[in-house]
Amino acid sequence: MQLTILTDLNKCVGCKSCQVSCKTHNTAGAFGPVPDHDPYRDPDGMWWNRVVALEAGEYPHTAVLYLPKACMHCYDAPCVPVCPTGASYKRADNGVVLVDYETCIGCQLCLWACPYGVREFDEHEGVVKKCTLCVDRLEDPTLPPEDRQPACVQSCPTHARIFGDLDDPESEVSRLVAERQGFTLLPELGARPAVHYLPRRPAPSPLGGQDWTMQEEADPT
Amino acid sequence: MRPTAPLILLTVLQGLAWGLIATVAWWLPSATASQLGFLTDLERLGSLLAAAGGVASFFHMHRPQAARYILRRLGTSWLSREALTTGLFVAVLTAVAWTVGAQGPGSEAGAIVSAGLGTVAVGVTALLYATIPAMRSWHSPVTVLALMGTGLVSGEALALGLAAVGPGASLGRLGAPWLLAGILGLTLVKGLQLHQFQLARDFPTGEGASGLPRGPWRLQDTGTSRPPYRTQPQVWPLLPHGVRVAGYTTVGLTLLALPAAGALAAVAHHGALAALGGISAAVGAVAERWMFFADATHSSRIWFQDVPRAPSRVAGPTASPEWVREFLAAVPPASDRD
Repeated sequence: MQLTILTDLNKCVGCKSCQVSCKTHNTAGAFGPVPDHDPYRDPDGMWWNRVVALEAGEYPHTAVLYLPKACMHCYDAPCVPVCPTGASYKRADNGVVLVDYETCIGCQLCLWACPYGVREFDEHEGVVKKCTLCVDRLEDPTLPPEDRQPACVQSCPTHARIFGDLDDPESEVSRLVAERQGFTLLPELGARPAVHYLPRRPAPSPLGGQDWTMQEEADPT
Repeated sequence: MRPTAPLILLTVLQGLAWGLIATVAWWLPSATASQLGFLTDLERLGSLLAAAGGVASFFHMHRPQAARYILRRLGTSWLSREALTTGLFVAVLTAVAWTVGAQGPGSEAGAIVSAGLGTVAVGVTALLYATIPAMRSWHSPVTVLALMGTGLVSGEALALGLAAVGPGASLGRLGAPWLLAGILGLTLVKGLQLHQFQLARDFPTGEGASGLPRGPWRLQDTGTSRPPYRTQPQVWPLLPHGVRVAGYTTVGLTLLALPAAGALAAVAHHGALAALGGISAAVGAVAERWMFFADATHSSRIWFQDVPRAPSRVAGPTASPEWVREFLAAVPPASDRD
């Protein structure tokens, strides 16, 4: 089993509710607090999930892309073998990559090894923290089954994020990845991320072309 | 990435100690009886430097209470291997330097074994950096050559500088041609490394980082008010061009040019200038290591780079066309129309 999150980039509107709900749940929850030790003087605390905004193309043929980015829970997670103490590990039963704070020495080598910049160093506790895929919610028997999913998935107002098992060919995430050319970030670095994205579809443009990807054809001059 | 003092001290001092003990092992068969005491002092200096590097590495661990687990992943983690090999190097070098020295029985074997362990320790440390694919600047065999070359050259230059002002002047003259050859080789390796760092800065592509098939693209928002330089030390602001030029010029002068001049001065019996070259090499190794960390590019920089603030090209404060201003001037105010 490899649990994962699939994000449909056509549906993401960049509202950052996933970013905020992640912070809220993991600050208040029982597992892995996400600290802001100095929130008023230094508002840049720890975030396990960041929504990055990218602009592509040349004005006026531009498009904005919102990219929610958290731990990719890679099949070949490069952060795991580099850890000298075994604090970084990948669970065999569900594929979630986690950190054992008790054995972490805070050397930060895993931050260098992660290609995606999704691990964060808590300088007050001296350990590295990261997205847990809300494993505390997934395994909480007191929650109703429909709530046993990551906070970012549950809070997405456009249902852009889908949670499921990538190793199950019958699951919704596997079907969507197969049918709609789901892709991963920086595949050339060989980490084989489990987290996938559905690519943007071409959209009609008032300027003549289909979208920014067709800018040569859509030159208004 | 963000340079940190413990890592700079660990790697520089470990390299210096290795260079010193390797030089001692090489000089020992040629040394006269009056020079053995000096070589013992060099060994002891090397052991102190290596031990200081080991102590510095503890300050990089933010939870040293978990250090007892550090050898758990010897099979996969270069950091586990570094802890083991550096620990062995420091222990054996300290034992050899403070018991046998360069005068006791088995001194040559002790120096050779210490130098061999130093080679393994510095090599493993270099491989730790070179085997991280996400660290685009370091993921190359050039990193291993550069770290080992810097350690060997700085240690030998320091030994030669100290020899020139002490009783080992003849040993210094023996080592000078080899030091010059080492500096020439290191110059070539550093040139290759600069090229590797430039390639790394150009690495990130919008396609691989976003799935957008065509550029150009630019980052609008890193997700928070600024890039996470405090919680993610693998990214750091890009060095300004002037700082980069000044940094590499300093490295060239202190690690390569002045030690080369010192080697020539040792041959020409200018002890003070040769000593200056040795000290300069040690300083240059620190400067080289600072640039090694500060100028390194991590693959995640693509999502965290500082975005220059630019005004909107759509709603900018551009002047209206002339005909619009004439039209507005011709139209009477709404109050007059009533």
